[in-house]
Amino acid sequence: MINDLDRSSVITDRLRRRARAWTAMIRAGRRAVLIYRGDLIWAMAGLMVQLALTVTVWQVVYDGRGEVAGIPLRLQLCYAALATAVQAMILPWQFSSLPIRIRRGQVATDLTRPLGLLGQVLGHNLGTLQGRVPVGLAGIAFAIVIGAATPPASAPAVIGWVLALLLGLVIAQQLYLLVSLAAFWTLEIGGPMMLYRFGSAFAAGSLIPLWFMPGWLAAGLQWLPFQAQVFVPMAIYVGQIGGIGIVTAIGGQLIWVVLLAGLLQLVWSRARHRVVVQGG
Amino acid sequence: VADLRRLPRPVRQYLILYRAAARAALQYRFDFLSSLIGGIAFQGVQLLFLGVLLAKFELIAGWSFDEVGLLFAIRLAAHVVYIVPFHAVFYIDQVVNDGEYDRYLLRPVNPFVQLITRRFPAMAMGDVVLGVVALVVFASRAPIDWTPASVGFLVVAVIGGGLVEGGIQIALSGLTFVATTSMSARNFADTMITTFGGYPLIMFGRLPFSLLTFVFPMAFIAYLPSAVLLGRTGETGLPVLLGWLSPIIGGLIFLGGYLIHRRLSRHYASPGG
Repeated sequence: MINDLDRSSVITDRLRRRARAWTAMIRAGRRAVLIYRGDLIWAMAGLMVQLALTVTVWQVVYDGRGEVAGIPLRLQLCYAALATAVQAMILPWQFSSLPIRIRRGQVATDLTRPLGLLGQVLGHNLGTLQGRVPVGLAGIAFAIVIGAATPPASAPAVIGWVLALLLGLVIAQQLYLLVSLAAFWTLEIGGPMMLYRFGSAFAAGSLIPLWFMPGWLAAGLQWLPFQAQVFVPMAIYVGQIGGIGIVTAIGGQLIWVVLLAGLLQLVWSRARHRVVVQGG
Repeated sequence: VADLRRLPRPVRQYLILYRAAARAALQYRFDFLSSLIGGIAFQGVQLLFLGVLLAKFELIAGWSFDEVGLLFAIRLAAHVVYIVPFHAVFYIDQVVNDGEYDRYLLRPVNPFVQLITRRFPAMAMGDVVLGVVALVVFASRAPIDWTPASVGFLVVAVIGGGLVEGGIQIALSGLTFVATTSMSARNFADTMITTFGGYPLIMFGRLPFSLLTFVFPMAFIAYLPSAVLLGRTGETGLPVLLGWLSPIIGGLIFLGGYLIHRRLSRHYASPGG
């Protein structure tokens, strides 16, 4: 009886410590963003300018036509503005602290911490994401003010959008971690990171929605996880994915989350054997 | 090395340090190659975007694909002129906050020269490949009867455009000395130029266009020079001469940017205390 109590208190104690470690990592990540107030203000102002200009680009190319390829201008403006805001939130310039930890050899200490390395990095990234939320929200608010963002297509679209957006964020984090882990093999990952950053922005449909892409390209991108980050939630919001399509799209996202989690575990189990401490 | 002796001191120092950085970068073959691909991806995505957009919409503010292509190619080539020699300005935050700048001040070489030779921009090699190819392809496709004079103008315009981008980035990098970071400011400039530098800027409206000409002078990078070459200066509402002078204006912007950077660097406080 006493033994059982002891055991359960040990477990709760462990869980509590774990939770504390997580909160600490998230807080560290968030603070690392929020401490540079000036930087944050620049990011917000920059996003607003970018939004205003992006909206103008679409207005100009529509050139007075009410709709192109079945897509009304209003819908396209809403998509473009919100996708830009979401993209700015999920993919800030400097996201993961992993590559720099590996290069400096700090990763050796990190590996000995009670919270696993992946957990530390993920916690830190989640904190960074939290820190970037004000930027994304400012962008969305601005999109509403300039009249680009319109209300969601329907009530189910709101629920679908929120769910798809959250899953999109999970997928973005998983992909980001995967690319970061490449640093265990190559030390420098500036190149793959750039490829990921810009390739994924395009493939996610943040720059141009899949419905304006040539058929072969859109069909190809459907098979990649990137479109699940931005295109799926935004297409649900504006009603281009509706009804049963919402369920299928979210199901597709869930499959990607599971697949990427498996891949992440596999790569990580190999990466940890590759730790070479620089200068040691 | 003997022939380097006749060059001005900072230029000689620059070349020696740059060569050393290049040799260091080439030691890491895989990284060099992957950076090259990363560089192509960065700018290539913009080209891909414009291609897809124009395939669907045909015209942007009355400009055809070939015309926008020339504008885009000039911007890209100008970016190469900036990024190959000055890319390492990117590391200013790290250099200042980690105290690396202390060492620069102790050495008998201009600190700015040491900053920009800190690392060789392997990623920029991707830009070089894409920039040269784009310029050759789109210059030949553009509806222009090329004469020696117009080719000459194209070359100096590309150099001037690079100096504009360099001047902006170098001026902004000086903010790190007073505000510990200038990352977002530099990212903002980079995003603006990368994302919107390839459009006929007048399409954003008269006021934004004026701001992009006289406040954040990215119009001089590619739009005004290509308007001159394509005979479209009329739409800008600005004197034709301003377009022709854009390479010289680029030089002035660069000089101004460097002077701002140097002035702000006096505020450097060592992080070591």
